[in-house]
Amino acid sequence: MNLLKRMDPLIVFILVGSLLTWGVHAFGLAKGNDSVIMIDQQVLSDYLASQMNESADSLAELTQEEQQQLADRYIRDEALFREAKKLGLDQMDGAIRSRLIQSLKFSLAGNDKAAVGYPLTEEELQDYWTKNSQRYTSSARVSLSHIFFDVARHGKDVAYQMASQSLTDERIQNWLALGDRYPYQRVFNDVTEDVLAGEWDAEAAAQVFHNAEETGRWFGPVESRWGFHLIRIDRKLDSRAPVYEEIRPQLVKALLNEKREAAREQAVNEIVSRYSVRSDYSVKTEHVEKIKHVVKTGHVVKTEYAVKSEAAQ
Amino acid sequence: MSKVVRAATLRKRLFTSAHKVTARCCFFAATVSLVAGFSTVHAAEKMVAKEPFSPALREPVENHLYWGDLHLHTSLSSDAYINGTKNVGQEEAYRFARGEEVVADNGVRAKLKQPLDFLAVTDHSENLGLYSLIERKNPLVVGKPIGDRYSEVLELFEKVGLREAFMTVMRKYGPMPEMPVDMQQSIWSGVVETADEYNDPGNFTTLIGYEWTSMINGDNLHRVVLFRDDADKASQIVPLSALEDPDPETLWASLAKYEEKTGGMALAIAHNGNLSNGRMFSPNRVNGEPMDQQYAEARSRWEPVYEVTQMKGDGEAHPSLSSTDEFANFENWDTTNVAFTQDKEPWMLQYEYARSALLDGLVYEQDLGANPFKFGLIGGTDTHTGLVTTEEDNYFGKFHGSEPAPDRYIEKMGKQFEPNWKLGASGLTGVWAAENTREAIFDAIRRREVYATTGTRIRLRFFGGWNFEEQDISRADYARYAYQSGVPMGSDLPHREQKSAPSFLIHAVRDLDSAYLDRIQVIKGWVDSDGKTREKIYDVALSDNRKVPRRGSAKKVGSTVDVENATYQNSIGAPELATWWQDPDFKADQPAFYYVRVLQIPTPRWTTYDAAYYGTELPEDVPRTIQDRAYSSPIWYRP
Repeated sequence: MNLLKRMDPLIVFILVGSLLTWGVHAFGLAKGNDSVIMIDQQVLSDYLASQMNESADSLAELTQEEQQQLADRYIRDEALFREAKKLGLDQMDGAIRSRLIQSLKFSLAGNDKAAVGYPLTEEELQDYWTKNSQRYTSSARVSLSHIFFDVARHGKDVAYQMASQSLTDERIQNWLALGDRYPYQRVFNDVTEDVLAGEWDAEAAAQVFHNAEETGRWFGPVESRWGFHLIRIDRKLDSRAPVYEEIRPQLVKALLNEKREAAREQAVNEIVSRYSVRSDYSVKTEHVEKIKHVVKTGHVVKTEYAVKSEAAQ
Repeated sequence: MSKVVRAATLRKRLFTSAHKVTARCCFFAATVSLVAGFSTVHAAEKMVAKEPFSPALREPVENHLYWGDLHLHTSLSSDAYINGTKNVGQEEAYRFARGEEVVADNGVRAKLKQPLDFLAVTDHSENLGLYSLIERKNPLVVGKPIGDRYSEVLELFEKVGLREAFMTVMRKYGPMPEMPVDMQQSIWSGVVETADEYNDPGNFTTLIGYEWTSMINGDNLHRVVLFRDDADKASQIVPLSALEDPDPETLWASLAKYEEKTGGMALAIAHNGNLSNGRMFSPNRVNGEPMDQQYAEARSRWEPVYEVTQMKGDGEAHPSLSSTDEFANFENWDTTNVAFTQDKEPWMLQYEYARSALLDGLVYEQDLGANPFKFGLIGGTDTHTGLVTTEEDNYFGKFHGSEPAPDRYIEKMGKQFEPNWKLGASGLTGVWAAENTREAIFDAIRRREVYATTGTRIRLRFFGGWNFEEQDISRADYARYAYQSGVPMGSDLPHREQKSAPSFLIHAVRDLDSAYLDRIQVIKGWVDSDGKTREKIYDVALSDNRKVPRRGSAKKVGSTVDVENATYQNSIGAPELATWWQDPDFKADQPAFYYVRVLQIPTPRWTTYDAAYYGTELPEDVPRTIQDRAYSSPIWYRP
């Protein structure tokens, strides 16, 4: 005791501390000690439930021998698991990494309505509308009927000739009976130029929309990837920007989604900003700087990361 | 793959989402607004009237083909939710189906190559929406017995699995409480209002529906229920729960009551006979009595179509019932019932498959004067991810656990059933109708002018009549002509006046985004003079100049599939097959049905795409290729 009294209290503290630490390690008392596998009923029940999809209660239903087998299996699994972790296999495995990342992402902000500033104000919505009105504009559409002349069947020249002649044929009054069997629809309702281009091709679709103003008159032949078409526009709907009141419900949802996404992105960025990055790539540090800026200002900006890193390669 | 291409692909995968940070975000999109009155903003939004639908001038004599799924689950279904579908609710399901980008529950942004024309969201009626309310701490459930009990289940589920979670809670408190009617009403009115909100006549149709989930001893008797009506009618009832009574006759009675009360219309669609262990097309009613005329009439009245293909197996035919059908061995699930509690026995098969039921139906019509199994064929997904994905190269699985991931193929469905690789990327429904509206689509289902595919969009027309001639199929207006002088799929042949055998016009065109076609087959079923059921398969159109043999089956089309790289070439097969066909074995005194099966050339199965993408090794018993197909509704001949 004398010795202890004479020693600096700090030294005593350190000595005792090291002794304890050494003792704990030497006797495997530390929880999570890497070379000691603890087994008790709880461990085995959890193992049954989490790894083998059995109910935790079913442990009691096992015989002594089966329990022993289960324990052996657990020991092997656990040892291999720890060894794999020691070797860093969990770091290398893409599936494990993505699962962990995904779990964390799900738990981040964005789920919580209050956190993203709900309910939305009318001002916010108006602002969003001004910025995004283009996205809610509906494309021009036409409804049309067409008579088809099959190039595969007649050859290009003959098909073209047949089509041209039919244009002035009085039987065009009974147009359904003219021409050849068409594989798809002979009447299109309210299709966009995009959709028509998908089935015919871009040039044919462009010709149709170019001629779309005059309804009820047959024109053509228009050539598509299938053959030649005579076309009658039955209706044209102009491209249309909706009025705010009409589109408001959609805006609410879209803005809410955007804010949730932003909140999540913010949360991710906050995590990233806790790390510093050392790199030979100037572009990467720049990216991190950008994220830090984002965190500081609270504004999510589009990063040019992809473009830059491509350039860097 | 060249280095440059590889790098470009890599860049695409790595960086496309980074560009979208601010623009496209559907992530936690408001499943919250599903429940009526959940948010005031949402309620007020509904006041804005939609632009009224005005159809274009048209000549509907040839009808249009519309594509959709009539069987889909979202986060509102208990089993979907508990298995991890939490973010994809009904709104997301509609948005995805109509072509928007939606974030799947596994975090992947997903979008269809081609939008669908219609969708029925059919969440399970049993505890509809309950888990979602509990986790969102909705006042409807907080502090109520049902909320407390089920939230204990939710907590225990993670630790001990679903069955044990239920057992534990029930041991503690007794039987699980039922959902109070006001709670059901509140959730259901959210469901029907959401459907109305997304219904866009002329462009995208939503059909109001739910699934009635009847299981007897774990044998599947599930039915999807669909309404022709809007929320004003459909909200006057709450979905029937099969927990109260698993007898389909009770369901039909409830539909009759609905129609009487509201003046609306409803129908039911059964599915997965393959998991019913002999119950789906059983000769007996659920109460044990043999089928009678009343039953037969009621069944065909309420169930005009059957879902013949979906993720949990294809139900057209079974190889042991149709031993001469070389294509019958297709994505069959034939080992247990739906709860995986009882093994399949050979006698059950006859009462599980569409073809054998159609055959039995002919006999019942002779015996009872009514055919209980006079159904058309449709396809559905039964997906529980909220995302209709039926293509082999774009398959999002059945549950959250089978959404794209390197190990999904060996994981078990819902953690406890079959391995996920057994799931099929199936199916879709094609509808022939004059316009894309609720009424037109519902009516087409009722008159069975619909057909099933295993996920591809093969275009298929099928007409029957007494005086079609060979050259008719080459007419530009063959469809108009066929409607005028014959009947489309789903109908009875008109009364026979000539002495000829029936003839058919069949036209199949490939899916523009998918494979060429191998062949068209007509499948005929009939009752012979001894009263025995018979079937025969005719190859009626073949690609690549193959000739239809007088006897036996046609030569195989071959395969261009490169399994390792998961690719195929449209260098075999035909983009379009069209034919006239007359039954060479027709007997005027024997009742018969005819339906068409169209096969695509082989393509990589979804598991093969997975293996190539993730670089994994598939078990040997997983088929590497698949011949996706279409099944028309039958045309019946009645002497």
